[in-house]
Amino acid sequence: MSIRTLSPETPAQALEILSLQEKYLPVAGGTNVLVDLRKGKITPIGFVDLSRFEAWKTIQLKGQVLEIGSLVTHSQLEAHPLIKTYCPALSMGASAVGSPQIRNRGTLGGNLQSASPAADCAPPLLAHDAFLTLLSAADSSGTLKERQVDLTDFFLGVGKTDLRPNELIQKVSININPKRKSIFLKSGLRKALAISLVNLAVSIELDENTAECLKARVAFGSIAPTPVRIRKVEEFLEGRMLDERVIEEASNIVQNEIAPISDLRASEEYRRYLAQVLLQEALRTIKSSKEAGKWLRKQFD
Amino acid sequence: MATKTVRLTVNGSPAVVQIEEHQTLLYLLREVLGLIGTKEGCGEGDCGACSVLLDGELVNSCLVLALQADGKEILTIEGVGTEDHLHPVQQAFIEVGAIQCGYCTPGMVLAAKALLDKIPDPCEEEIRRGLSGNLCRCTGYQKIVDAVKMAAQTSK
Repeated sequence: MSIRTLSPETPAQALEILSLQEKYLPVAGGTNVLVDLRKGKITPIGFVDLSRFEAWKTIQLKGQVLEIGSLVTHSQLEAHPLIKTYCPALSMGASAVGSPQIRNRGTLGGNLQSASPAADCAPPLLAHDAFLTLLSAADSSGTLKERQVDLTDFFLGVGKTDLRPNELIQKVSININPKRKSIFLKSGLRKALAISLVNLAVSIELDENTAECLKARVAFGSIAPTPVRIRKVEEFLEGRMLDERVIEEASNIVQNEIAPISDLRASEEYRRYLAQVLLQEALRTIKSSKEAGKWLRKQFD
Repeated sequence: MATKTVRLTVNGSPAVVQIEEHQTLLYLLREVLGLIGTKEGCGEGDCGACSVLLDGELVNSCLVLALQADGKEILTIEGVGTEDHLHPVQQAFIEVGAIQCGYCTPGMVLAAKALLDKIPDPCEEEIRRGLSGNLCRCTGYQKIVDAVKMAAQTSK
């Protein structure tokens, strides 16, 4: 095996290489790519190492938009005050990925690009209406080509995304709404290094006075070929009070909207059951919690 | 064979190595520098036997390209304590009996050190979470957790 590894200093150089060399693959944290290489799932002739793009490792608030660089690690997401404040479900989702070692290396861009149905960062970002900025090599004028894609349109199937081989995810953006509370819940076979049997993120904007649900987002992982929003449930919740009857009904609606499979980790029936109880738990927690990031440690109970 | 030069600091000493471009940091440490305290278990990031600190962060060296370690500081088990002055974590592992076959121990010690560097006085849950990327097939983990607790006490 002889695989080249190129270490460009700038994104522009990396995009140039990817536009010219089809069998070069980008690598950042390496926690997916090097495993796939070892298992023979990928056969690149070269890697383009992205790990030196410092500007893509930052989390910042620009006006009302929270911008998360694609090379931000799960450990950064877990701990960062801006994520905890404006997108708490993402902090929780990132903290549920792999192990400390994996979280220290694995990046948000990699988690999304690998398009696992069980990716723990995907439901939180779907629940916050995230959109991606994708870059490709410069045209004749010298400026990098840029396009934006809603995360809902990004996932196309297991391991398949809208990302073209000559593109890189530059950043993930969220329009912040301080009134929006969010939560992430996961059921895995163990507390660490466990692929989600079902994972769920819910974000809700409640009317402060009446506790009526003004806006709802419900996004599941591991119950379809891609992480998905369940719009029927969102529509049902909006305009209603989060009482027990509504919570019960919402978790019944979910059953008609999902199509989980049976595999070696869980049966279809068990996944359906998990989807129901996770949604109930998420809605009850959001209803009873005053602060958005308050239940951050809940999943480790 | 496509090779490149990697310049890095390992256990405080500068090292310059020539290495194939697709090779991992684990390969660099074991096969090029002969630092065989770092173990290969699964090679896929599940077991943590290859754990080292990269610029102070706990990583699986089997999942880091050697070229990505260029310019970085690496700490392996060979750089933790000396035979005369063991690191408190190492001393505690011996005293508590947290070692059986020993294969996971270098990774466990590095994971424990990384944890205590960040959280000097961790609760049991934090210890278990800090060690959650390291598998041990012998001990059942309890004595390892006890050892980290002891190390936290003696380091005070």
